[in-house]
Amino acid sequence: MALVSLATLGLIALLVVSGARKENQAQAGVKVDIKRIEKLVLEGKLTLHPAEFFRKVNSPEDSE
Amino acid sequence: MSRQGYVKCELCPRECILGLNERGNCRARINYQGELVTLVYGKPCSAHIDPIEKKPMFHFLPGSRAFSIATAGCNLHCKFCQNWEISQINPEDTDNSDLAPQRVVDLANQSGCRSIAYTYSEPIIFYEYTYDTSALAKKAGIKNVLVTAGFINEKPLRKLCEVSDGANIDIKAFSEDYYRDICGGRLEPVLKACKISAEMGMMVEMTNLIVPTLNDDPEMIKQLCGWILQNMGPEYPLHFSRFFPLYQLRGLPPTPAETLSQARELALKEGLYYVYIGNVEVAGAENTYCPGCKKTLIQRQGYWIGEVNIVDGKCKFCGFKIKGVWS
Repeated sequence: MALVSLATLGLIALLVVSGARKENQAQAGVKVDIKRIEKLVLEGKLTLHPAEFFRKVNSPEDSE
Repeated sequence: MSRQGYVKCELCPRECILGLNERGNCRARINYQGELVTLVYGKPCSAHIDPIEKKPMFHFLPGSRAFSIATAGCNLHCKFCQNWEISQINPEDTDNSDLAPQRVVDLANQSGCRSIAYTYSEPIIFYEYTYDTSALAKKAGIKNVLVTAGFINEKPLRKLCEVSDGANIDIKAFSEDYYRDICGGRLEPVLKACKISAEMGMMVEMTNLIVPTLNDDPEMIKQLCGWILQNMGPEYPLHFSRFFPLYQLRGLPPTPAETLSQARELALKEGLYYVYIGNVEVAGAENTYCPGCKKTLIQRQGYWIGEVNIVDGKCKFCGFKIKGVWS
């Protein structure tokens, strides 16, 4: 019984932590409507200007 | 292009990893054809002329005007955001002007502004625009002011400091829990940004928005003051600002003036030299007083300022050196 309660508590803690992480990553990785953006660039409302401070990586998990 | 076309943004501590056509947490940067690009370079959604006191910067060319710009987006998501209509929206959904960096500098010059403020939303997320405009402004003799939450990585911050003269950095609360739960960020990088900016010679002022029941604990305020004293010094101004119920925190009341006054008293007692109250009128709480002779150096009421009793950066009465950019 105690083991079950401990497991339940662990599961709740995991959900809380992953929920907080999700909150922190709100909006990141969402697909954009690239056609709409390209149209707005042509209209002078947006740019596709090279950004600084980034590097190319092989996967979403690649942090090195 | 890398095998999968992913890019990792290293501008802010979030370090978003984006697949093709994906957007960063700040909304302003996307992965376009395997490269990171900014959507907002030269495309501000706000441009106004403000008194520098509005930023608030009280030790920076008092009585002058700042040409103020912002683009859509932000890398924090504060539930109390006062500018959420531009900070929590995609750049494709705001009405953007076409203002290249040189045009911003020209407009600032023509309108008699002594500084350009990168403000309202978050200048870090329109980094390249902020940097290029600042570099041109510096050449033209116009100063640059960042009004920021300071959630930025060290390398880009150090580069930006080279062309910036002043910053008002929000310290939302002296609590990691608060940053995570209310702002979706972290405190530690913000404190580091305050320290680095000051070390690099910028005139740093800090703002702490006090939200009833969430960050009004005197002990937390005491810890904040202690950190400033220990890591920066007593001469860096701190503004306590009044919260108004907006965005996702409409259920809380505005901060009582008494709470702000108590915070100010506490900060002065802890040893900070210059502590101000904003967004509410409390008699004398916007004035600058000399830490040496206690006389009034600058009288303020809202955005109005009276006589400035500072000469060559020193108190006119006793000669005490007053931290700031005065000419």
